Amino acid sequence: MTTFVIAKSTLGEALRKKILWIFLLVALGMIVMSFSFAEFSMREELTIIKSFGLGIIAIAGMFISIILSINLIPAEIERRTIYTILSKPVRRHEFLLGKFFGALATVFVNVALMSVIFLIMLTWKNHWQPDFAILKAILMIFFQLELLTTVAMVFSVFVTPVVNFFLSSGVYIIGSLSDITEAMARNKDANAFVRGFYSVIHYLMPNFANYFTQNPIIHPEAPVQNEWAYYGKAIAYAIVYSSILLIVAVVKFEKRDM
Amino acid sequence: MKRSTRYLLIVIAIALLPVVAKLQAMLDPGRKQFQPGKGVSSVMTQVGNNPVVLPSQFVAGTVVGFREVVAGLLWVRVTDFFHQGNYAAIVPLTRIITWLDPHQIDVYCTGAWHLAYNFVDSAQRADHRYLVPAMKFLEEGIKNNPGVWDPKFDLGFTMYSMKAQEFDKAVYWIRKASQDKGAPLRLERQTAHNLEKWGKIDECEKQWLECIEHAKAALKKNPKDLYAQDHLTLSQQNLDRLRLRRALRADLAKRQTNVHFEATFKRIAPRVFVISGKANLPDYARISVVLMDEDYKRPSLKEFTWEVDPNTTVLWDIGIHGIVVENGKFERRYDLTKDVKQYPFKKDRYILTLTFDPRTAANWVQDTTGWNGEGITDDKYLDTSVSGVRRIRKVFHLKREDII
Repeated sequence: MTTFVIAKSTLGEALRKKILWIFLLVALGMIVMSFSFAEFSMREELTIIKSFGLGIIAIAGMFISIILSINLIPAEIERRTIYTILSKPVRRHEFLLGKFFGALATVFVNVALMSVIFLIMLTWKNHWQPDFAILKAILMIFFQLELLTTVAMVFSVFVTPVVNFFLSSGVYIIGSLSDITEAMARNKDANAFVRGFYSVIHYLMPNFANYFTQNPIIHPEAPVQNEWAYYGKAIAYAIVYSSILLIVAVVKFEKRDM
Repeated sequence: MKRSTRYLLIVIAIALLPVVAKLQAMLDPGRKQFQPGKGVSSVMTQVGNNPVVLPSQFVAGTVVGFREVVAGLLWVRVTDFFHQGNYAAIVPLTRIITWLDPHQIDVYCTGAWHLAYNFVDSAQRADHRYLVPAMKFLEEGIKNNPGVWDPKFDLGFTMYSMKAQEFDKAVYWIRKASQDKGAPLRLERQTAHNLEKWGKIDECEKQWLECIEHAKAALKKNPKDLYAQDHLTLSQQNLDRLRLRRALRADLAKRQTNVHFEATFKRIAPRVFVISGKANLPDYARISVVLMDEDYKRPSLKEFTWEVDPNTTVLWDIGIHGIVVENGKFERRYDLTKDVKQYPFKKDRYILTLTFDPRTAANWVQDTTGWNGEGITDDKYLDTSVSGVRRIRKVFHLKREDII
């Protein structure tokens, strides 16, 4: 219950932050702008609009997740409100989890808003025939952002927001290089140390590339096998990985001197 | 939090790490089908001798998984280049786009079209050396999108029918395209037209009957289907015309026209020559002209590249680009002085072939010649090397100094 109350208050507070609204408005503006491509055939146009729209939702979501999460704990410490909260019957892990779920709810609201606008525009462009398949890609984007939010949240327990911004962004970029890390981990020509290094990165670092699933949704003609099995595993990966990171954050936060 | 609880949590976190690794190993094989494109490192290193430097934001976008967005932006850029007439810039970009996103079907089709049609000489004659790369590009598109009809149709119609005039292959690919899910009914009609061009009249009739059958079946499902209505009307009209023509052309073999074909090649100046002659053919029949290296063979590419052999010369004026016959005469002046790059003439010997092929002739010409030339003969230049086809064909063996 305490966790829920903190999450709710975090959501309310986050939605009042102007910077998030700026990101959201820019993203919405770009989604609307992407509908101005009129020189293409119908299929090309829809391909470009879908790829742009999903790309913008993912990029804007990434910035919103990082900027939101890096400030959640440090801001409370800086304003000293955390001491007031923790002096009440609120456990530290409840506070931390509340903050996390509040951030996640904020990300969800932002992604949902962008998605609704995108879906409406796409439906209009597609002669009022809705393409609900894009919701699958948006679902995957959301779980990617969930993982990113957890990463930024964990770092926020250890480092300052500025350091956290670069650290989280770096982890996101490295975690998006699956093609390279996987290839290097399996490269028989490389020595054992290099293979081991890349194996650790590929298998143990958060792998954000698992969630770039937009291609067959942009191109419905492309056949995909066991689509939902893949989505299920990707969602399980995000939940399990986030659980590990949240445990690390809780353990560290419990020991922190405040 | 108790120390024991903390330790328990740490143990749980550590125990979950192998689960994460296992899930990742399970996700890896499936991920490929969601991210079918090549990585940016491949794109940057495999563009051959025509490197295309991607702006840094494009590279960044590609690296972090927004390949489709980058591909879309590059495609927008391609249309800018198209409107500027900068075709040379388009082809490498289409290569990169299809590497990033191999399901961009329209990029394959448009890229192949640029290659086959838009690299032209000063007389707007397409560079035939790009035909094989164009075909290969479409073949790659077909391989990457096996269930999609468009690249198959483009390979059949644009490349084999219009460009190479290999009607057997054209029929093969258009028919394959028409069998794909979502293929428009008009592809069935295109198959029939190509069968007629190929000279397979009985098969063509069968195809028209099949078209009518399919149109009726579609109309039974939905009587308001405008495409099916069109398909039915056009197929019926074409079938009627085919049967009428067959009746009118039935006895052409008994009343053959002697073409009395004569042709000359005359060099006017270096790289300037005139091809002229006489042919007893109806007005607007066309004489195809092919001038190429004596040892020229169409290259077989293992994989697509837009680089062509700069030492190869092929001038390819066939079909509707052939020389028009009017009042029994034909003549065309070729001035290749401004087109050294397209026609380098680096070899010592060349073959110039002038052909009248009745299969590519207009209907009113075929009313005299027949579909396969059954209505024509010639004292000197009748060519029956293609089974079932009677063509008129004269070959000149030229030396470099005859042209340069």
